[in-house]
Amino acid sequence: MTADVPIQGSSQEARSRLRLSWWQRIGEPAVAVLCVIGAWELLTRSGVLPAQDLPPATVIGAAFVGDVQELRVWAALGATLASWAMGLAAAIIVGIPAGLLLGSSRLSYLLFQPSLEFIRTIPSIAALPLLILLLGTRGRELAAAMTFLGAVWPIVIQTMYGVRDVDPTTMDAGRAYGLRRFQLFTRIVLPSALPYIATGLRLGAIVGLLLAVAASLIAGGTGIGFLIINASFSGVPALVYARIVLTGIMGLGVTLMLVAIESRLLFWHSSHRRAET
Amino acid sequence: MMRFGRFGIGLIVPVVFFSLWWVLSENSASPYFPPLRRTLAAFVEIWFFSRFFTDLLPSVSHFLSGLTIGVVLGVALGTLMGLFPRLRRDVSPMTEFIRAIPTAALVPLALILFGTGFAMETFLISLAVFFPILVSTTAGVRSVDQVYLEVAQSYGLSFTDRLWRIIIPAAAPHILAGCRVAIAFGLAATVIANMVASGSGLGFFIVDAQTSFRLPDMWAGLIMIGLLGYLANGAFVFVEHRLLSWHRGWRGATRAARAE
Repeated sequence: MTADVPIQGSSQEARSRLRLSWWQRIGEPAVAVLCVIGAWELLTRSGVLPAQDLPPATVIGAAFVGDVQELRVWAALGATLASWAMGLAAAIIVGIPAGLLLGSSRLSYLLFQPSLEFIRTIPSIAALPLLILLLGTRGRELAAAMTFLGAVWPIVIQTMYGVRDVDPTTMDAGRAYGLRRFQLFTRIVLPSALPYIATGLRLGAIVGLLLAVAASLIAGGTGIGFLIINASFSGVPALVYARIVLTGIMGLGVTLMLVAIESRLLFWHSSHRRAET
Repeated sequence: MMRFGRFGIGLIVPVVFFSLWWVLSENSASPYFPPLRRTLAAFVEIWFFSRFFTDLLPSVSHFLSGLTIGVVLGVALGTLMGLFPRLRRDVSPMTEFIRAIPTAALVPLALILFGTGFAMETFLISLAVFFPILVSTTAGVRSVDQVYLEVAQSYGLSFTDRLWRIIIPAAAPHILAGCRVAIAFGLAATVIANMVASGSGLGFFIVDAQTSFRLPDMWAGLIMIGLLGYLANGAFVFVEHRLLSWHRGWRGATRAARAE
């Protein structure tokens, strides 16, 4: 997760996108999606693909429509998102100050950077059995703790890199203008680290959501993961697919929201998608 | 000398951390935090002897085969999507949607399709690996300097030549950056697949140790997973350095030329 791959293209692409017609931007992709769904329907209905394991698209659609009318699906989505928000908030409260602190001196950076880079390669999911022992599986704490564990590292590391990357010339200029330490921090360090912090938040939020879903899927409890595994035990494949689609919609919603927040916060920054590589 | 100094400073934190862990846990009464001495004894016994073939080797081999499949397919589709804007526009709504589904949520689907075992785990791991590679390869291929392609075309290079001599090398830094993300995702997917639906493997081992309350074993499993992550990353950095040494040199040369 060191390298952050830009989600959107260059300004050159933005310009060429303007030249695209409505059909090229939306019409044709929509037709492509419909074609794939149609092919899926045809192949499963005709028996080329085993309908037992791969239910036709319309069957999945019907299961989806029936499922979202039930309260418990929304309760499960809400539980997962609530745990996720709790864990993410904790990761922000801990991670950003920690990153600012570690990045602010060369010594602390040299001391901690290798260890942090090592920790980020350990899959956080491995801590799940330990957290089950410590927190139990009943409440929202487990998924929240998993979210925290996944989200805090990218946030700390990106914040730290952001502080290290502050332009020394700008700092010198600030000092020459007689800014005090606190003013240097709020007017120069923080704004120039903000793009990195935003990238850390986006990475952390997405990894956190993965872990929140994984926690409820493996340990049970109240989240959406439990409902998916529950559907697979009930022996209705269409319901499994429907709930996976629902989880995907949740994930897509969260991703789009984060990208929107990031570009709103950083509209003033010329290269706000620059990330540490 | 400077390099060694930096390396040495970086070692201070882990050394202090493990020393504290050792000392503080030595007389630990809590069953959840057994003495590090016992954990390490369990580590040696388990991973060098009793569980090497049954749990460690399957996880590692599933991880490696999933990684290979995911990287190959991701680079292939990513190259196509980078080269053909129309394909990119038409396919990306679907790939973006599947990418947004958390890996764990796909385990039940993999179970329906493949049952338990090698195929299911490899499928899940390669899927987790596929998307970061796809995205970074697409970005890399799109970033290829248009001038190079035009020059190559005017020299009459065939499409295959352009692909192997210009496009793939120019996209290599992006692809490798994607690989780094993919290794982390793939390892997490390995553990998740083991935890949900396996009778063996590292993830299964730590869950099994936890439910049967063999806590030093659980900690030994945790350390092993951390170690694997570290080794995978170390191997990757080694390969990246070798593959991209020409690239760094080339970039340095052009930078110097520009500065003149």
